[in-house]
Amino acid sequence: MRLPVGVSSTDFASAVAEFGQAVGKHWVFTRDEDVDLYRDAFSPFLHEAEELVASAAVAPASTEEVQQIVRIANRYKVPLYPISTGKNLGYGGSAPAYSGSVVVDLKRMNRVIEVDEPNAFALVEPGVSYFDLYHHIQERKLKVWIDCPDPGWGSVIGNALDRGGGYTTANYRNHFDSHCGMEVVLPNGELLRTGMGAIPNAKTWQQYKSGCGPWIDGIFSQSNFGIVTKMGFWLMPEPEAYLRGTVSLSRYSDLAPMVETLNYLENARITSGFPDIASPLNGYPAIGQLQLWNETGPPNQTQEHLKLLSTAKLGYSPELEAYGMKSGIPYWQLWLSFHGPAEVIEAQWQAAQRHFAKLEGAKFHVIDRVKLPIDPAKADAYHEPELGVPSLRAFSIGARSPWNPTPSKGHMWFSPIVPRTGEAIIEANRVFSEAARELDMPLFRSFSMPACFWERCFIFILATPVTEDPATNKRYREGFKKLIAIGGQHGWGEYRTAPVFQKSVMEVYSFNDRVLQRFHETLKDAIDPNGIMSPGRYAIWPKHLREKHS
Amino acid sequence: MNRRKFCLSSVAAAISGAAAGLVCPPAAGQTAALPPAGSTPNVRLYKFVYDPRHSAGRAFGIAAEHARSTAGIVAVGGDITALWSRDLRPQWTAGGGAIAGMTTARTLFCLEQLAKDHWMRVVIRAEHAISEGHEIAHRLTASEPMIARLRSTLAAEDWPSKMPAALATCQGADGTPRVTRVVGSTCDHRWAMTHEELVSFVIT
Repeated sequence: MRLPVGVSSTDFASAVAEFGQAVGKHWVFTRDEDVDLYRDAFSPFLHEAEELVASAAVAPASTEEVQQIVRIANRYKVPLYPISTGKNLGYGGSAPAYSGSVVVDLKRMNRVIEVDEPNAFALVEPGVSYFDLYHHIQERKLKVWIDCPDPGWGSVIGNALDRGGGYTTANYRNHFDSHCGMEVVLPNGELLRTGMGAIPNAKTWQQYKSGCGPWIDGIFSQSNFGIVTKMGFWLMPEPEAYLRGTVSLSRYSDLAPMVETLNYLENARITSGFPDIASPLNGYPAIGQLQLWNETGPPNQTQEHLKLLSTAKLGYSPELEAYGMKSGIPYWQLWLSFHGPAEVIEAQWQAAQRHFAKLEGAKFHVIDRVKLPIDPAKADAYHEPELGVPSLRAFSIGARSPWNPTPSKGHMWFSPIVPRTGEAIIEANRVFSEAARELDMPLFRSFSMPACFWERCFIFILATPVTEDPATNKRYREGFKKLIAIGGQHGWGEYRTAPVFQKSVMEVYSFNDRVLQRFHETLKDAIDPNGIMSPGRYAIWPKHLREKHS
Repeated sequence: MNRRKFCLSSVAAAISGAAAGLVCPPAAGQTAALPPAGSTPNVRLYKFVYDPRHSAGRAFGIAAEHARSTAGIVAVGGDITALWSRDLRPQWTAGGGAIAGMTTARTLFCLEQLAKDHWMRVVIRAEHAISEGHEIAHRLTASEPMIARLRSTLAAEDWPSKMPAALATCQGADGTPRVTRVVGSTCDHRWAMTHEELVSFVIT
């Protein structure tokens, strides 16, 4: 049996026995072959002793059982690491931030407690996946949509607490922002409800977010201040129709005004679907086109085109631009999508075209005009998540193909937030491509485009591969940390990261002598004096481990 | 949903790099006798899954179709959304349903992650990789008796066609430790795997 550091074998055995009394001994796992299931499948420490691993796992079925587990852990000072379904691949998976922690596996808590169609909200437990919630809604023929990430196999609560993003309209794509009300088991085992849920017999827990007084929900995301056992989410009323169209532009200099126009249209809610920016001339597809490109390779890449790409700087050369114009390959292509009544979204599309028409030579094309609802069996004709349909197709994207001849064993997402401007796209390409070249990290093809999950900013996502070779992985880990620091020097910080990089990322958030970090630690000491809750998550260490890990 | 019905972990051996020994296939024309199955009953398979984009996968699928089995058969390319959404998810939510198959490693990875949500796991894994020359290296992770049965299967020229029957002899939890062995076999041109590595498996 593995042991958490600093916990005696007697105490650990007692804790495990008491966990068994609380949840049933069949739901406590201590054998290596069981506990190994919680290893991070994309761990950058593959085949290395430093890999973050659990000592045991326990799977409660109710909030009351979670409370008992927490109280037992306090009694024996056993570190816990709660997971919802553990699908956070690329950001740490189900492995703990502190080796030796006991994973609290919440996937048996899988009830969809309520879906209110007229008010368009849901209340769920942590074990509910996007597929579960989607099917719950479909089977009852409720006229509401979920907003899901891609792939959609993860937990609705887990993704929101990790601040994941989706693909429908702007007010639902930010999964943490679209939550309304939480139930949390605090590190001392007490049960807390946030927002209106703090009122006994509350009538509006999922309808008004902040309640009265300080709004504390944020401290339970990307943190270690409690175990969220219920969470409400606002859902999108099922739209009547969907339209997707492209805006194609032929000049390199069109990038900045294109982004500026997009920002205006999105912030004014003229367009609200997921904006997807591609650069066909640079061989960079829209996210919704990734599978097709993976299977067939980018279209229209002649030898001349490939040669021009290899000599372009930051995705540009006058010759490349001329080639694009001559060949009819857009430099930039913006995919816009609209959800709503047909007459409304047609008008929105018209308005969007009018604004983009100010850019010389802008071309417009409608890709999809869809009357909703669609037959779910035909959803794969589209980028499913944009229609609120969870998918697993993303897993075929990384497969070996002519375009992707050496797929990796996994990846670590490097995900800095950068300003929503064309200039920032070019600057991020310059900074990170130079760094990647210097660090010999395979992060770029020629030019990378950011993702537009949220309004007001871009995420400049780069996948750092995980390989079978420990020496290469070590080099990539060190390189990853350098990329984090370089981003910080430019005022860019990660929005989310795997435990192995959380210290490096949080060091970037260092304004005023790391006051944010110190505030987190002050909270930690007050809320979790025994330091049993997810020690080290997002570099928030309890007092007794702080010096060692700072 | 019975947490303890599985054999032993696949992930443990696969990720920890359990000692891999080379087991020589029987000489050409020589067929090894299948070791007798133990007293533990075979796993009842709910479905065979195969990847029709690969010739070996197609052969597996055809053989599964002709096998005298109550298990259904489903073809999956790179995307398992439909299989998951309309078939396995309701089946596994209702209490399980072992599956066997031959797919790409990436498809198995996806199925394996989903299986974990239902307290199921990979109990047999046979990674079929072209090695140097004209050989295929089969990296097997299973119990020793199961490896012995698979070794004999993989020695046959038309091993993809014989895999469904071999995988159907997978037994339930019997506490037998799982090990990893590498078995070589001649690469028949019919099974040329030029695209992605294929894996045969049982999830229960």
